[in-house]
This record gives sequence, structure tokens and C-alpha cells, in this order.
Amino acid sequence: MKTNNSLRSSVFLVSFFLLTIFSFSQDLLAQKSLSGNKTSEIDYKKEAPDFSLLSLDGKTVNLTDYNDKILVIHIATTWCPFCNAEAPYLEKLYQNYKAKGVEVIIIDVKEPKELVEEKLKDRHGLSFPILLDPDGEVAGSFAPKNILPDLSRDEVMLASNIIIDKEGKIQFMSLLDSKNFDAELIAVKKKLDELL
Amino acid sequence: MSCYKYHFILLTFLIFLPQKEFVAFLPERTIIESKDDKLHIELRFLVKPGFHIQAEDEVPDNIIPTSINFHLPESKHIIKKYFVIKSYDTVIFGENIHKVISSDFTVILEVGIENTPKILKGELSYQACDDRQCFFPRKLPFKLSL
Repeated sequence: MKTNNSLRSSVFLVSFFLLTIFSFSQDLLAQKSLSGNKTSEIDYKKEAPDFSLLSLDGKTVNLTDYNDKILVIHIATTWCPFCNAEAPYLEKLYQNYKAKGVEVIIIDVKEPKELVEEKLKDRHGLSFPILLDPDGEVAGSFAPKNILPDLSRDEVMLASNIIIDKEGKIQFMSLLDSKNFDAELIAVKKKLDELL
Repeated sequence: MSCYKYHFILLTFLIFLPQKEFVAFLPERTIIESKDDKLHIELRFLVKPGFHIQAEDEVPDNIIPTSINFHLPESKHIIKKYFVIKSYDTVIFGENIHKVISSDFTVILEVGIENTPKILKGELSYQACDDRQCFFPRKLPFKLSL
């Protein structure tokens, strides 16, 4: 019995030690990978992660609902300055491209429905769906590993734009770049024009 | 100790891992002066290099301004509190220019001497960004012996 207890203690201490080392090493590795990537557009073509989220009007929205469309996803919160600056241009983009088979959604992270309705949808007059990601898990699933090392483990890449093609592949992903901030979504529109 | 207790400790450690802060409180640079019947306190904060936080006022709608809150007993009250920002930085959002704080700044507090608590506790609420990302709003707690 005593041996069992001391074995458990040892296993616990070793796990604890390894976990601590792992947490720090993730930061170090991530720092390395960020230094190599100075552009806001990431070369990140892969299968888009599936999701199922509730929209502001209570409908369940899945990625598969957009199978025959090109989908633009913007990751936002109501307080994110850059997301607010992009919101009116997202609406313009939606109006200009929806007839061409392009859909737009916002994935709002960790905020209550009422707040998002007031501060995002109503304030900017957004007519496309806004989906609620209560724990940030879906938004986080799009993030390339280790690309933003300063983000805490429960944070996500806000103000990012993602384009998913009709086959469900990520064709474009931009990270915030406040020095060359593209509020008017010029890069997104350029990529959409290429895909259409 | 049972296996469950070890897991509980591990879980607690993970939940309460310290969050990353982008502003530091500089207690060594605090100035406390007694003037007339008031205590004049200057609290210094530093925004870490490479980051900025939102200004304390005149921020666009929806943006969370930096604010400070003091925990004082009900009998104590603050006469005056205000931010002193030497210079603002600017961030350009399309057509709009928005002011942010990206260096050191001071919060000035005036409390009546008879109202002075022995320990001043409070928290600075801020929302930080850098060139590549914006971070969830957070609170920096601070404590100071008067």
C-alpha cells in the first residue's frame, strides 16, 4: 500500500514537472515560429474544421450548410477595435458578393447574445449571420498552432478573416496587422475575385 | 494522499495559472504627499514595450476604455482621481484615428487625510493589443501601503 502511494506521488510530481516544462516550451517554440512569419496572410491551406454554432436568431449553423458556397468568416468580439472597424466593410462585401455565391459570417467569441445583438448586429446594421462561440473553441480551432504565442490558452485570433472554398478548404487566412491594417478588406476581396 | 487529491491540486494549478499582463504597476515610483487636509497619491503604471492599451476616455463606441477602481471601506471616499498621460500613440482604423497608451502613465488620487486607508487596494481594467493581436480585457490588481 505504502509503495503504491509513493508510486502515485512520484507519478504526480513527474507529470506536474513535465506539464510545467511543456507550458513554457510551447511559448518558446511559438516565439520562434512567429519570428519567421511577418506577413498578415498565412499560407495555411487545409481542411476547414467543422463547427456547429447557434446564430443570434437561434438557428444552428454548421459549416456543411455552406458546402456549395464560398464562405468568409470573421472572428470578432464587440470590444475588439479592429473588428469594429472592419464590420461595415464586411457588410459591404456581403452585399457586393452574395449574388456571386459568397456568404459571410461573424463568429463572435465568448459574449452574450444580447450584447452582440446590440453592439455588433444593430450598431453596424449587419444582415449576415452572426454565430455565438461561447467558449471560443470553434474560433480557436481555426488558429494555426503556435502562430500567436502571446495569446493565453483561452484566447483566440481576433480580427482574423478566413475564406473557405466550396470544397471546404481554407484558401485564405489573415491575422491582424495593425501597422498595415486592411479595414476595407482589400486582400479578402482580391482572393475572392481569384476564387470566383 | 489519494490519487483524486493529486488531480484536484493539478486542476487547481491549471485553473489559476497567472494570466499574462501587459501593464505593470510600479510601486517603487509611487509618490505620496500630504497637502493641506488631503493626501495626494501618484500611482505609476507602465505599458510593456510592444503593446498598447485603450485610452482612458474619448474612445470610439464599443471600445473598452482603461479605467481604475479602488477598493475602499464605505467610510472612506476619494476626492479626486484622474489619469495623466504624457503622450498618446495613435492607431489608424481605416478612416478613423484612435488614441491609445503605449508607455508609462500616472493615476492621481486625492483622499482626505482623515479618510486615508492604511492599505490602498485597487485594480486597473484595460484591454491591450499589439501589432498582431488583441487580447481579452483584464484587470491588474495592485496594493500599496500608505
